[in-house]
Amino acid sequence: MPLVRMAEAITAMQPGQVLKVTGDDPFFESGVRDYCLARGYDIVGASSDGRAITVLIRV
Amino acid sequence: MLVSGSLDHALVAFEIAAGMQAMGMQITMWFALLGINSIRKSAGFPLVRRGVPKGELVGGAGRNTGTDTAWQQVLQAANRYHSKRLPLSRLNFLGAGPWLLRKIMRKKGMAELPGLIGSAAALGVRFRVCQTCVDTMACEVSEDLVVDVEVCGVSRYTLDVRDSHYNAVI
Repeated sequence: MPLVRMAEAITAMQPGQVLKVTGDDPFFESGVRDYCLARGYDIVGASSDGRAITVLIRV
Repeated sequence: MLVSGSLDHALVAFEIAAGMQAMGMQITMWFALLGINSIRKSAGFPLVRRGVPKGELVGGAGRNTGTDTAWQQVLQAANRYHSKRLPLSRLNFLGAGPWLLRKIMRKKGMAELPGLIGSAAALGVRFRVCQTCVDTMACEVSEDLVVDVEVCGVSRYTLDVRDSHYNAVI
């Protein structure tokens, strides 16, 4: 459900703000990257700490 | 278009619809035949909620109560499935299959069907149901369903399919 959760979070944000998303799904990062490609958002940074993957998106 | 009343098919349909809507596509979900079960509320008891006297105009959208028959109540009594209780298309084992699947999905932190339906509706997915199915199964769309729907026919479906980039019949 990362797509749905992100879409819900982004509706409450202003353009230019940065969203930090964290997940533990093996396909989480590729899902976030596909999502940003489709919606035209920039990925500011990505990191992984053990199982937790964190991606920063500029809306 | 969801025509199947199975939990596995409904999960796929709603997962795709909610995901694609989140990705920025306008999604319209169609429900026909037993697919309507996936967005039905529990009918509770008694088995048949309302008797519709022949010819009396108590029908909501898409209903032609003049041609109703008692067999529709038999169908309602037999079709006890709703959004929180759907069978699997295979490996149902009298309800043990869906129970096991729910247990696994909960452990994995996945959204279950009622949650997925709520997310899809909140994201702006449109829901449309087949008029002939509503009339056949004596379904009152304003009371019996968990989401707001439009009752439409093949003509609307034709336009929806013609104007879309992707169409799946599940």
